[in-house]
Amino acid sequence: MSDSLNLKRRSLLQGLGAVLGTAAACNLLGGNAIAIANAYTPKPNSHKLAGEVFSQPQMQMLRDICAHVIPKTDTPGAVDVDCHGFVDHQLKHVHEQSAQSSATAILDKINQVCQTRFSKGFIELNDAQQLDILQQVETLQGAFSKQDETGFKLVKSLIVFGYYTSQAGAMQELRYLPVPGGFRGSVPYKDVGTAWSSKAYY
Amino acid sequence: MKKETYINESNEVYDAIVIGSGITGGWAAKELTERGFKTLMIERGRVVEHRKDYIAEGKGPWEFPHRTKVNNLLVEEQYKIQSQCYAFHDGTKHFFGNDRDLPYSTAEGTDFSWIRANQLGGKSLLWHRQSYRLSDYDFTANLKDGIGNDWPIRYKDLAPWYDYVEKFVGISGNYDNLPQLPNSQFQPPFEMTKPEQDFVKTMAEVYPDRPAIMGRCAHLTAPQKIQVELGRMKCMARNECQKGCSFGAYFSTQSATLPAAARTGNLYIAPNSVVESLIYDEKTNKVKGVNVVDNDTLKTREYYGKIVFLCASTLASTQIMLNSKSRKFPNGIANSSGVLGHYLMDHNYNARAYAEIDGYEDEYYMGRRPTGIYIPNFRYEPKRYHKDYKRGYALSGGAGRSDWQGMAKSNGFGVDFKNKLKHPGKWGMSLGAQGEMLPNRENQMTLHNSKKDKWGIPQIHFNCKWSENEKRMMEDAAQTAAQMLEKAGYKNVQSSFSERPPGIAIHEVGTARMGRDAKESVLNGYNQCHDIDNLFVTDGSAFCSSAVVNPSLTFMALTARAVDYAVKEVKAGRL
Repeated sequence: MSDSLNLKRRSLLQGLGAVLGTAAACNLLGGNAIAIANAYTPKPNSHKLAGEVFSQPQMQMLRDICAHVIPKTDTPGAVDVDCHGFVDHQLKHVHEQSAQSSATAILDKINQVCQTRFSKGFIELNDAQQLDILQQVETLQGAFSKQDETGFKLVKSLIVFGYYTSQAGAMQELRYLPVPGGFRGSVPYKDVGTAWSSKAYY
Repeated sequence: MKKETYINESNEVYDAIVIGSGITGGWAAKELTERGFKTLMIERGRVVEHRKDYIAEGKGPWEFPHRTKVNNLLVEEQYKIQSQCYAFHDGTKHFFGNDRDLPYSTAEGTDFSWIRANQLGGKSLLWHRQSYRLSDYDFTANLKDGIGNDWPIRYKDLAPWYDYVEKFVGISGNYDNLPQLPNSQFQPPFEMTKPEQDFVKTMAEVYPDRPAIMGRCAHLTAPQKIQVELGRMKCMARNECQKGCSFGAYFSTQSATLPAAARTGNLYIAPNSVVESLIYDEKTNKVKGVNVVDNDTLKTREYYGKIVFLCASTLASTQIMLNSKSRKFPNGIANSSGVLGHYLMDHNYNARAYAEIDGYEDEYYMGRRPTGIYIPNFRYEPKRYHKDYKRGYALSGGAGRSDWQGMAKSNGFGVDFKNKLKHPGKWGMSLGAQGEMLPNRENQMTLHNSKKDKWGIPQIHFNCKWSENEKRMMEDAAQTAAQMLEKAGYKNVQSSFSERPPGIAIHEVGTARMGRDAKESVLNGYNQCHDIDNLFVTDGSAFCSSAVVNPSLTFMALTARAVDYAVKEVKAGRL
């Protein structure tokens, strides 16, 4: 972010602390705030455990898919923030039974196609083979058809949602602005550099 | 709020009782207390303290159990209807009513979405804050069309009261000088994005009679003394308003009318007090108080007052009146006309259009604007009506850039995909219709003849549906919005419809309408019951027509005006 945007924001926050008190102002800033006890907590080993919707082998598979959708670069990737654990948890608690079935079904189908083609499961394939299969699902090529689209897009969009609403996705990968200080209708994109990240609600 | 402000049992006869604490009740309490009336505000729900009880404010999505989405079982069991509201999520659900405790029924073949906010502050915490005046085209529409009854007031009656409330509320907007949408007392408008600026110019050339303007909303952009002294501050453009705003930047009961009323020393609040009915005294032909059921213990109690302002929301106020039966008023208090509960209206939001905009890749914006572009109703008088239907609609929307959410299902993997989502996508513009609903006697709420809620109050039974007029209007609105986006030179223009029932615009009005004739209306031109002079109803139930614009600003102006009238009547010894 350019200095002029940063400066404006900093002076705003100082002013805010003066009016509301530092504790209230910090609470409002939100960005660095304290995790909440019952929020979904990333685990280091989700792929080694059976999930709430997915079996343990499916969790391993989902972890590999996460790595292909949003890999680690100079910022964390989907696996680093346990998107596979998140997707499983979110499907169970927010989505309907039909969505859960649709998600497990597409993973089963992908695995079957791998068995037929390579005589191996998805998780045993190398990166290039996995990517090839995933691209086939997404473009509905080979063994995949229109009926596989909903399930796959659901899983993919949940991975994306999980990543960009995680703290790392919102604050490291994109720019998180909890208290913009006002609205400016026209800002040169080069002064911002990356997309603004999540809103605070979905 | 001081502890002694809150009361439970009391035998006192207050100068005034205000039922409800939302936008309307807050205004009634402010005006009455500032004029020296010892006032009891009765709220059916819990206390929500400004700042302290905004429990989800300032939290990032990762701090919620499901990233702000709500648990599916909870939705299924307790929030099936409330979750239809765009503002319902895990950071706001505690400000919505619980459907399990608030049942109602609908006539076969009809549906109605009743969104509730039963706490101190009511829907003023959750409202969308878009604020527009009605014009004389609205006040005379029923008369000109021969539909419904004529409003007993005209724009000149309400204009000074719009001025009055707007200076206090703080409305951001631009002086557009449009006949169909009178100016308010404005604070500076929010800025337009670059594509929006160009859209406005193009529309001015192609459709000179359909100006596009910046939306007007109850957000402080340049706070004045009257707001600052209540602790209110400039809008930070977070656009998370419905979680509650500690800046007090948008108008709510908590941020504005409540502190104003409290500082007079004349305000008392009875929370957790569900009003079951009004107590009618046949000898004096006055309302002398209210029967209350405790929200938690279900114990009953009474409160007494010399005048009563019923501000519980259109549907709740009407429910209380219908349930206040006596020998003189067997069909509900002040209902000698028989129109109480009839002429229920909402707005129709069921059509929209969307398009992609090429270019502007170097353009971006900063902050989350709490309003958008607005195209005021351009079919605002009979000679401008479409041949297929009466009245008109506004279009509201705006232009923004697609983000990771919009691109989540797009093709791609790996570093390329991640890089794509790191940057904003294409610009797009959406326009949604906000259509007027005609007053129709058949659209009605009644009390269910056997079902009651947990407080022992008869449930509401709705019989309300869109007429052909509204359906034809939405067909035209979708087509027209799409044409405008085409004319702007945009790509991939699409329009769509939804089948959402009445209620979901949360602009319900009309069930205790005003009028000059006591035989065909409940209220006179000062929101005073024709039948009972110390009973005033100043929420949306007073409306004779829905007009096109968001109604809350008009609730405020009507309320301030009605209090002014009532106070003068009391002081003159007539009330």
